[in-house]
Amino acid sequence: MEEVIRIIGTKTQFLRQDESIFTYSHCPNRIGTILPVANRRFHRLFCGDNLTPMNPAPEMNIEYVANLARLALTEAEKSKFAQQLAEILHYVEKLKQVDVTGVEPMAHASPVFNVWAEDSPAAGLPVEKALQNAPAQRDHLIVMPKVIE
Amino acid sequence: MSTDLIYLPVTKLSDLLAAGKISSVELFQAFAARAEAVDGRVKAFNSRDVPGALEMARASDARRAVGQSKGPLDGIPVGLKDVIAVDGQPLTCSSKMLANYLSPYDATATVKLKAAGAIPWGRLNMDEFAMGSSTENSAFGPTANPWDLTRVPGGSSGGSAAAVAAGEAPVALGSDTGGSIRQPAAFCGIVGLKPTYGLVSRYGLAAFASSLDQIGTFAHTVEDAALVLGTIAGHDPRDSTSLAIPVPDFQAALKQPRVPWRLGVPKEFFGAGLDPEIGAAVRQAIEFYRRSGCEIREVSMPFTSEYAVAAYYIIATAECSSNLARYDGVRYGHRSKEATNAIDLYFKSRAEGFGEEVKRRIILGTYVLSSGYYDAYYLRAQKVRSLIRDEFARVFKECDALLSPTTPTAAFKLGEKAADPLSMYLSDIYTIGVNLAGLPGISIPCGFAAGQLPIGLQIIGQPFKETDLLAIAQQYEQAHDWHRQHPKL
Repeated sequence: MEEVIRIIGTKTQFLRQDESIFTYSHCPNRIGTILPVANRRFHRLFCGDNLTPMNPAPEMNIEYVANLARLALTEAEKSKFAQQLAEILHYVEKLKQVDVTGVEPMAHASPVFNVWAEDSPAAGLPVEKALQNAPAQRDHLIVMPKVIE
Repeated sequence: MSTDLIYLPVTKLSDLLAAGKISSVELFQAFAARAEAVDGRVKAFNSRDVPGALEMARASDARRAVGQSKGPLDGIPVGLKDVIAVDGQPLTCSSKMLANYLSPYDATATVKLKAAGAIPWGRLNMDEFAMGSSTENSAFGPTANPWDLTRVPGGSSGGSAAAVAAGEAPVALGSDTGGSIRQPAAFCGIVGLKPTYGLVSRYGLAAFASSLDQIGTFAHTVEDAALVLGTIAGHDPRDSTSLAIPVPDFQAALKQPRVPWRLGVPKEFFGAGLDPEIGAAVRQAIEFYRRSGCEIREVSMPFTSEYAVAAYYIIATAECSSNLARYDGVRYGHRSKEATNAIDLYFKSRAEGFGEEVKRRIILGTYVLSSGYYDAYYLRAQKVRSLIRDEFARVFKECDALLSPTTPTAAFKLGEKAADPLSMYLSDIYTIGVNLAGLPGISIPCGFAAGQLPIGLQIIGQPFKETDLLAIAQQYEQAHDWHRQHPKL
């Protein structure tokens, strides 16, 4: 018999006797699905978390984000990614424990800034080569569907 | 003869070529025959251009015949991960998106290899766009680990590691964004070197996470890794993050007298989650250095061990979502035939062209960069990245290099982690900090787990101190023979 360990927002998590955690999602399109999240021992070892109360996994509006990314997702992908990304976002929540007051963000590890190139002409790719991978072309131009109706 | 040749180090092969004992054509044919015999099972290659490579081998023999050899790599086949451009060759990134793409130019690393007379050999399988740790995320199917064909070779450069381990290429190039050279090298029992960020030009390397990506080498020996690194390193005006510093003679550095190195052992890298057999093998390697007169210092890196994976998966996915915005079905790559207008073309081409892990990371990266979440995720992760860099800088005040396991476990089974992205991400727990801090790292073989599964020792060096890193690695290699053991295929 499963033991309810916590209810967070639209999700209920169960701890089973074999130490695995199961999340039951109350999202309307996923009622009745029970999905494995993480093995408890693994979770404790790597996340330093003894299944004590933690912050709720953040909710991501996956349709909104997929639209920003110009990426069409199927219903199955949306459902699967929502579950997996909630788990990953929960994992990265730990960064909120870090005091970053006064810390400069680091964009890259290379100790170079503002690299300037000489403004001198040089040979580029021939047109045929530059266009050799174009899905459709005509008269040295790339052809694509209408942008403005 | 050919089975003897295929596992010789490049330094030995070039001696044989120079002495006229073999020709470059014979050498290439030995590797081509090996690939023909075993790659149906290993599946390291996405494609192989045998006639093109043979032509280059003939040209190399012709140069050598008239005393115009270009040096130790002249006539040596070098395998290339299918993410590094070779003019006229496919560049698929193991993605449907680029299934029909042909490179219109050479990557800078390719230019340098060709200038040294090396023969770009085949297109090696990988996780799609280098996103993964098992080479299972390839649109062309997974590569198998040559030591156990039911297990993964690691990733994302799994094809490069497997090709070298299986004797299909003597050396290969890969790319390392979070461990993608060191982890597969560990899983396949070979040497994998990830140089300091900025040492090797990224021009012509299809971008995944630009602030973390770095091209590096797979080899049987540390000296071979040094030879290839010396060939591909150096400033390139076409990569503004490549550093304008002189390239040291890495091979000469290996011949310097041994130094009693100060070697740090981050205690958190030996904590819970580490397979006991891996831990034991790495501790034995540490003992070797102690017996050799090195000073072993236990150091503490609580911050890196706790936060590196989380910071990495925000920064890497953010950069990936931005870099992969270029795949829109317009100028190159897959174009959907179903689209009715421009916007629809983007949505459908990307949906059809990208595989599942790439989509998952694009979504995560887009989310952490989106309005309202940027500060909470991306900016915070960049600040945590500063703190991780500072933690490495602190331990490097008292250490020349750090020793750790490369991976928490040996090669896992194909399919074992495919449905659990977080568990897959955590398999990079010891390698990721190195990329965030931009440091050089190497994995060398240091034993076997469960009988026949290779174990990797990771050595992490100070920025641009590859000379020290390679010398430390070679000191271990010369006293052991793990690198002379090869899988039975």
